[in-house]
Amino acid sequence: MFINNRLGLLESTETLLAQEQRLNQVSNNLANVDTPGFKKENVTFWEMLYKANQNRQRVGKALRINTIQEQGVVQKTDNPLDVAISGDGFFKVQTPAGIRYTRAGNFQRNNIGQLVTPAGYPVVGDGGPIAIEGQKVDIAPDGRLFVDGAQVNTLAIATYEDPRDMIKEGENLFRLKDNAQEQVPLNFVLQQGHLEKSNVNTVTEMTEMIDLYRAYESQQKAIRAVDDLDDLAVRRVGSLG
Amino acid sequence: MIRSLFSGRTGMTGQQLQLDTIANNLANVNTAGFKKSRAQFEDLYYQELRAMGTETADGGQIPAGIQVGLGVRPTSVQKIFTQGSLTETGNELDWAIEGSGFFKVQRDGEDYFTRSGAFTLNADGTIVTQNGDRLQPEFTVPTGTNVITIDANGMLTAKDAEQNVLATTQVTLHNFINPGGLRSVGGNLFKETDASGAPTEANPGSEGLGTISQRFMEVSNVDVTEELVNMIITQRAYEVNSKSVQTADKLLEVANTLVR
Repeated sequence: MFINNRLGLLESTETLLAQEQRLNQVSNNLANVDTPGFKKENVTFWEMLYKANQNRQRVGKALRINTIQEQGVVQKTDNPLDVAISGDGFFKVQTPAGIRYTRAGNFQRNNIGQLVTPAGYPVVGDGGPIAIEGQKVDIAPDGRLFVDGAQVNTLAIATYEDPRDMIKEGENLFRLKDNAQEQVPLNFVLQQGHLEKSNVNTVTEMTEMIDLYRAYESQQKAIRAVDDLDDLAVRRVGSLG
Repeated sequence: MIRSLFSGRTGMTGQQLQLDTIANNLANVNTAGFKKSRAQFEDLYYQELRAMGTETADGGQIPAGIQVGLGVRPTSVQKIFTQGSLTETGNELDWAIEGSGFFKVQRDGEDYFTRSGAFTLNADGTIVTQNGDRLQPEFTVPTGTNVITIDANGMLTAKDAEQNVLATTQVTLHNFINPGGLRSVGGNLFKETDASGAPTEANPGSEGLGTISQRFMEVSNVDVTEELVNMIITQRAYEVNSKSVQTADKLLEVANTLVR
């Protein structure tokens, strides 16, 4: 009986859920404000037209989560195995599930002397996994890796053609979509002893939070109003005094 | 109201950039040859709600339209190439440039430019910077050199203990049409770009280039007082923009509480 009202409720509820998704992204971004190599995400919505019944269409929300690949802040750590990329490109790491990409350059040595991520995945170089059998490691801005003065390998740096091909997988890793090709990045500079931190800007996230909170509040008021109408209809209409 | 929320945000992130620049200047207040940076801003797009000059219904023209600004955006962070003051060090390989111009040095086969004249000799006797970059045109002092002098016009003379001249060379300086367009690569070095133009080489003291003062160092051109005042202004501007954000929030709250 309240078909029109119900549709209003449906749309409002969808918007509430959409704003909650936005809040999820904002919270995740804020939680990772200090994570090395983290790339923030935001949500874009667009309207989709659904057919509610033969008389009416309703507007629904579809959403997509985008990763923003902006350069993060580069911090000096003086750790010889920390490397930061200034510009385009990702480090390549070998995981049991295949080649993955990361911007987090906080590398370590494992027990057999290979250069690995903190999770233990070996970093890929142009000449295979990078073995460090020596004391002093020097990394040139173009990726060449020297151990005790002699070049042993070059860090492999790769990038994407379409930003939507790089999918976040967690553990600071990205995965290339199946049919996407790697590309050699045009301009990048590696800085040893530096670490690229997250690209999350607290002020931006805070204002997003204010914006979505107020939007959520408005929608809640809309639901309240619909409910009041129902209430009136149920209790008042047709009562005689 | 939503517009003011995002305008306030652009204001705050703009001031963050300004503070980053000021902090870098202050960190390098003692770096020889350092040139301070200045962040420049411009206003963002304007949303035209009603265009001026459009015709009204009765054939007249609208004299003033409605344009709402959307905030601020940084346009550039530019290096300011004013002369730093000279301080006497007494070191014969400390050369300060009084006026415009850069020394050219080479690292890994690439040319870089610098104002920092803190040179030294490497194991072969070649004149290099503190990082080992060779001064161009390259010059190696002959063995037995006791004293190196360089005059205001860049003529370098290497003499032995008996004041005999062992070798001389002409040190040149390089100038750019737009030094603000040079790329800073750190390490007191600059690199040529399309924006800076090609360098013109000449002897110091000629063609508008500065002169060389031996035994002096050019200190950074950062003025601590100026930076501190800018820092206060930046902090207040940040605060004031946060007020825009907070007020926009309050207005939205009021709008939302119109319904009980």
